[in-house]
Amino acid sequence: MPNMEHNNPKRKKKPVQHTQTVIIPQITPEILEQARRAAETPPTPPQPAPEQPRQEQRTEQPRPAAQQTHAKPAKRTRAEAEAELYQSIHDDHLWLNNPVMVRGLGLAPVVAVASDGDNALMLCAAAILLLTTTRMLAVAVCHLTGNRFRALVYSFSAAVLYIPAYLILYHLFGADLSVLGIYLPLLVVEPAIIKRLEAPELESVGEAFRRGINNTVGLCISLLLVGSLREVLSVGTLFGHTILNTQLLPLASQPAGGFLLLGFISAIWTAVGGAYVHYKREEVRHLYGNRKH
Amino acid sequence: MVTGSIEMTVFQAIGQFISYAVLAIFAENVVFSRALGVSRLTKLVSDPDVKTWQYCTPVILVQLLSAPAGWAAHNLLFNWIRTWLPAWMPIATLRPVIYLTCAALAMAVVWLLLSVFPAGQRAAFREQLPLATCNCCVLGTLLICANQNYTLLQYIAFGLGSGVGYLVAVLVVDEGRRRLRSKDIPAVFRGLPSYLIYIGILSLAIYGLMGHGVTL
Repeated sequence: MPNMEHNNPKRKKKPVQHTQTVIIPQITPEILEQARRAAETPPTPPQPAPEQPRQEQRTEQPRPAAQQTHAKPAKRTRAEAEAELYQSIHDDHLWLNNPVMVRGLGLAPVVAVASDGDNALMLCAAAILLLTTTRMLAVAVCHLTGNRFRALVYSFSAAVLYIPAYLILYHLFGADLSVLGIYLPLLVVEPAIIKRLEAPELESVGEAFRRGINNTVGLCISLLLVGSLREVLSVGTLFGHTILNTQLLPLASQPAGGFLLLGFISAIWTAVGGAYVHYKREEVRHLYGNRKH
Repeated sequence: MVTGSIEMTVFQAIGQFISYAVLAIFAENVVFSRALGVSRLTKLVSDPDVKTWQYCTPVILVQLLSAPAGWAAHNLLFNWIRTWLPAWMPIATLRPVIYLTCAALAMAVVWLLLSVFPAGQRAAFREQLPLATCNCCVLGTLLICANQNYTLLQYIAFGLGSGVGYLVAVLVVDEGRRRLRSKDIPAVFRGLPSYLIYIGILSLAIYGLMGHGVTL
């Protein structure tokens, strides 16, 4: 009677069998949302057990520091370990939370003008000069304005910093800069640069610097990857050096080809990243599976 | 004869206005041909809290009202500023600040104009107004018009058409999103990759219709 046995609700729960099946999930919006929440929630100090009487708590407070040092460190719960994992996913702007491939920021310059390595390099230089500095300046101004008018503060900060940035870029690249057309001045309202304006929490200048650097690196890697690949596919060269004698996909130099190619790269990127996240979640589940929350 | 000439001019102006607006909506759609505002679009269609009209109405109004300001800045203000700028500083460095100021002025006017809407809608529009103003679509349209040396009428027509074109793009991608929720689509393509490929195919269709790429 295998069916009855199977339907018996009182049967003992079988231990989970881990197979070697390869699961390639995507980095789903839910995971990113959990990561975002984990990043927004400040770390809470360990709460005392609820069943402890208040009197006991009072007596424990004035304990000497020497006794406290002998106490065993509290073991991490599974929830804490998962929160730490989500925090690390959120902070990883290079791979798991890449601004272009995962979050879909900065798509206009990537799709429209990052059609070869040289253009991508110029956009990288512009991003390096603008992204972190804009974020830091805007945060500093927001501290003065009480975090009001964020949209205008971030945009105008980028527009003001664009003036020295353009001069530096013109010194570096000369007239080649005109190839970028409207997409160079458009960087001042590009979500990859000013996305932070949508977050109501005001970060510190140091935090803005750290996150700005991370985002810059992630954006530059995506730009160079897409630009190089599009150049190889469309004209068979890489930074002007001939690699292939055929044009595999001439459409790759057009915005339509950029959209299609970026879609496929993004799918591969998120699949690999999702597999890694799945592995780490399974690891947390194995390590902390027996502990109660 | 004078009346006939004036009528002809008016008809020509109306025809030109409509043709530039239609050009901006379809053939030179900001999303499908120039990829402007795509990042915000992909967020908008997957955000259940923000309605399409709630975001696109401020975009259209800001586009429309910033067009005359952009024309004035391009034809009057820049010529005046050029006389004051030092030789080592090209005028291109100031383009984002000036056009962003035009958009911010338009935002202020739209903020006041939204008073005519009922309280609920007004609050919803005003909530999205700053984000709509700082959209690549708005600044990008002003820069395109300046690069093409459009007249005032063409500025306004192209600005209005770009705003409506953005709305059309959002509606098309939103409809596609509903259909792309099918389980037949592999898991790795769900979300951003499928949006990008879908927009890419539509962009390819417009590219095939025109036969050439637009000036970026």
